[in-house]
Amino acid sequence: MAGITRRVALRNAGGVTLAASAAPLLAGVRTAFAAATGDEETMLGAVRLEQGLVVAYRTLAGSSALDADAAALARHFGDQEQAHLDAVSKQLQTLGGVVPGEPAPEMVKAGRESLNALHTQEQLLAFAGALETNAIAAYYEAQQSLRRAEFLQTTAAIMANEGQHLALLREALHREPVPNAFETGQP
Amino acid sequence: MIERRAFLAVAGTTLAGGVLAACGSGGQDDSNGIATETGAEQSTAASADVSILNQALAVEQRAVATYQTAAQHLSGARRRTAQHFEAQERMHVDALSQAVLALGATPTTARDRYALPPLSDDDAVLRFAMGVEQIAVAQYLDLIPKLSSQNLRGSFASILTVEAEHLAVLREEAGQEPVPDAFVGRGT
Repeated sequence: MAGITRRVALRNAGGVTLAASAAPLLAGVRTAFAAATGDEETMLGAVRLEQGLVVAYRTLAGSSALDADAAALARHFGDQEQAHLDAVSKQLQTLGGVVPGEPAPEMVKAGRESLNALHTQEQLLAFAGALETNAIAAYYEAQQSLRRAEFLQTTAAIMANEGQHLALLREALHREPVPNAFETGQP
Repeated sequence: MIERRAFLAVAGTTLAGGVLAACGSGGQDDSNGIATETGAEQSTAASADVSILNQALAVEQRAVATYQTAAQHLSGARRRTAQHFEAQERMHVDALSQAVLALGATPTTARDRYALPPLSDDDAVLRFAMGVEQIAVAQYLDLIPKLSSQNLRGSFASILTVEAEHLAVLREEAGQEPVPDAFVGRGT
């Protein structure tokens, strides 16, 4: 029964972020997290998720649409996403898993939009916020499926860091930085 | 069959409503955001989770008291932020308390008083609040792998993330780098 309850919870959680309009890449990651039957599958999902974030922030940081402060924020967050990617890749490899190749920028999408279709700073920061929201939802699910303590701690620490990114992105978009008492990745 | 009730997080959020609806009639509590899980899970594990819930509850009670104090010492936008964070910490207290009750146990009670450092100016208040949040973050990171309930792990992570967000906002307010570490809890 507990397993059934968990699956129900995951199904509900899985429907609350980017929902039906989620991008191919990230939607795939979310699905992978929800369907993961073991730690290796879940950590592979985390690797793909972090790869998408690294590519996205790299693209943002190089965009002429961002002012100096926003570009610096993107570089800083991108560096932290790379640190996440390194950590989850290493943990995946300890399980015998193979790190996939990095996605092309056009494959990283949020909602209906892809990075290369966005032209203003506000659009780009909102895009990053949508990716962070999706990441939090995925890590929220991962906390309910992972078994190894070290993986739980790593992914929880990453999830909280993504929340910090999201709070600053909300601020940059003139929104309340911490609108929810429980951060589960709802948009 | 032993009925086990577990905190599912997210009091007051739409997710709670969804999960509550999905759980069916056999295992759900009221509208306070506590979903329940029915199954032949063991009372030993539930007992351990109660202890962990009460540890988290104590952390949250301290956080409520901290922001109450902070709001008294701050003004303007900073006071409003402290009040906003206090309200969120109260929601954590409420959800954790109800989870303990749902497991048939007694929630730990808040202290009458908490030790306070000298709070001579805004910087001191912000440092104090940051310290409390850093302790909360460290506690949640330590407690999450110890929980037997998968749902509770997700719930704790959702609270951990909010505490980390509070910390980032406080650091920024104090003129510090708001997100210094890629892994929350390291080096703090």
